[in-house]
Amino acid sequence: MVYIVLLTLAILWLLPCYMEIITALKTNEEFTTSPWWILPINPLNSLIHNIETALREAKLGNYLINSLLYATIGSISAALIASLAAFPIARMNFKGRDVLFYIIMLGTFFPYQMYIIPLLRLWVSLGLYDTFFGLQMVYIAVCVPFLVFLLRNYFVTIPRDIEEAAIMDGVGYFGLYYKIFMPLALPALVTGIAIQFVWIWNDLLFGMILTSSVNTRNIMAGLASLTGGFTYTYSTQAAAALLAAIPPLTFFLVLQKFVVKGLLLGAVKR
Amino acid sequence: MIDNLYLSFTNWDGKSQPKFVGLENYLYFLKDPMTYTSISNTLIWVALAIVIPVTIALIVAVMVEGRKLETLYTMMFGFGALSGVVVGLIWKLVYEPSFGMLNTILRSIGLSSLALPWLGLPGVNTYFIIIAYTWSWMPFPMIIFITGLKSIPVDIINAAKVDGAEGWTLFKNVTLPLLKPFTIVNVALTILNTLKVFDIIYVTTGGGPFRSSETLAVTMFFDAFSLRQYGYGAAVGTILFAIVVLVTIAYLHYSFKGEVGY
Repeated sequence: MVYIVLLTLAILWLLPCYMEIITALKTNEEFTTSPWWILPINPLNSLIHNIETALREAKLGNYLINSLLYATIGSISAALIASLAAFPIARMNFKGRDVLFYIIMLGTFFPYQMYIIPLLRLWVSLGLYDTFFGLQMVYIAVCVPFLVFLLRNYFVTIPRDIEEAAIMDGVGYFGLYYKIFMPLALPALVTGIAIQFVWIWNDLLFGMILTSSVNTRNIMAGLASLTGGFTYTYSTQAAAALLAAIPPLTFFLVLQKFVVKGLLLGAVKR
Repeated sequence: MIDNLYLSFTNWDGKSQPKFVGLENYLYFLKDPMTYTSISNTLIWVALAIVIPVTIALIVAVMVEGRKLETLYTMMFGFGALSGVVVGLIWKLVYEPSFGMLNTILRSIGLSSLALPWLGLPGVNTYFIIIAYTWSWMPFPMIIFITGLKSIPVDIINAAKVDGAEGWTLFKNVTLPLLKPFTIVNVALTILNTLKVFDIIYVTTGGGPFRSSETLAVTMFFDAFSLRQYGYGAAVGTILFAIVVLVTIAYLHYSFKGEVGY
C-alpha cells in the first residue's frame, strides 16, 4: 500500500522531467503533431539540431561560458574570503565578535529586491554596469555571508585539543588557519563551494538587471529571454533548459550527502 | 539599503537626479489597485507553500524513511538544484494549451472542457504556478525531515511501542513532537524562500496576463525595471523587506517558546 502511494508520487514527480527531455529530443513538427508521450523518430539528430539553434542563434554558448566563469570564480573566492572571516569568529576572542557575526548573518536574510535598485544606481555611477567584473563582485558579496555562517558552524566543531597541540608546536594564528583548519574543514568548504556554485549558476535577477550584452550576461538571463515571443520553438527551449540544468544536477547528485549535511549545518541550530 | 530607503521617498526614473517626494510612493502603494492583487497573491503563495510542500514532504519522509525507495526519493533532491528558470520552462511545457501534458491527459480522459490555457487565466494561474513551485521545492523539506527522522533515537520509538503506541498515535505523540526543530526550520525556510520567488513567475507568466499573477517581488521588478519607476520600486522593496523581517521575528519568537529537548 505504502509502496503504491510512493511509486505513484515518484511517477508524478518524474513525468514533467520526461516531457521536458522528450521535447528536447523532438523536432518542432513532431512536437506539434504527435502527443507528448510518443517517442521521437530521430532523437539524436533533433537534439543536436535544437542545441545548435540554441547555441548559435540565441548565443547561449556565450552565456554558458560566462556563467561557468562567474560560478567558478565566484564560489571559490567567496569561500576563501568567508573562511578568513569565519576563522577568527569561531576561534578568537575579541570585542564585538558576536555582534559582527550577527551582522554578517543578517546578510543572508535580506531579500535581494531590497538592495538591487541602489546597487544598480551605484554600479552605473561607478561604471561597473554591464561589466564582467561588476556582476562578479555582486555574486561574491552575496555568497560570503552564508559561507561565513556555514564555515563558522563547522570550525566550532573542530576539537580544541588539536588547536592546542598545534600551538604547542609553535604554530601561529595564520598557520593554524592555513595548516590545521582549512584541511580539516575541507568537506565543509567543498559543500559550501558547491552550494554557491549552483546558486550563482541559477541566478536570474542580478544577471538580468546588471548586465545587458552578450559578453556579460549569465545563462539564466539568457534562457529567460528565450521564452518571450515566438522566436524560439518549444523544442529549442527544452533543449536549452536541459543544457542549463546539467551542471547543477551533476553537482548535487555527486555531492548529495555533503550538500544535505552542509545545508543542515547552515540551517539547524544545535 | 539606506540608499534604498532614501530612493523610496523619491521619484527617481533612472536618469535624472532623484527628487524628494516624501511619502508619495507609499501612499500610491496603498491606492494602487495592483497592490491588492499583488499582496493577496503573495499571501496565497506563502500560505499554500507552507501547507502543501511541507505537508507532502512530511508524509513522504515518514513513508519513505528506511525503505528501499529512499534512494529514489533522495535523488529527487536534484530538483532543488534546478533554477527557477528551468522549472518554469519545464512547467510551461506541461501547461502548454494545445500540446502540453496536462491538457493532453485531460482530453484523453474525456475532460476536454477542462483543457484550458491554465496560465492565461487571471485568478487561477497563481495556483498553477504554485504547483510548479511545489514540484521543485518539496524535496528540500523532505530531505530535512528524513534527516530529522534518522536523528530520533531508536530507544524512544521502541519505548513508545512497548507502551502500546503504534501507527497514528505513535506518529502524533512521539515522532511529530521530536521533529519539531526540523519542522520549524522547514517552515521558516519555506516562508523566506517563497517571499523571494521571482524567476518561476517571471518565466511562466511574466506576472501577467494583466499583471494578475504578480507577487510583491515581481511587482517590484516590473515597476522599477519595466516602468522605470525606480523610486516606487524601491518603496515596494522596502515593504517586502519589512514583511520578511516581521514574518521571521514572529515565527522564531512563536516557535522557540516551546522547544523540545531530547
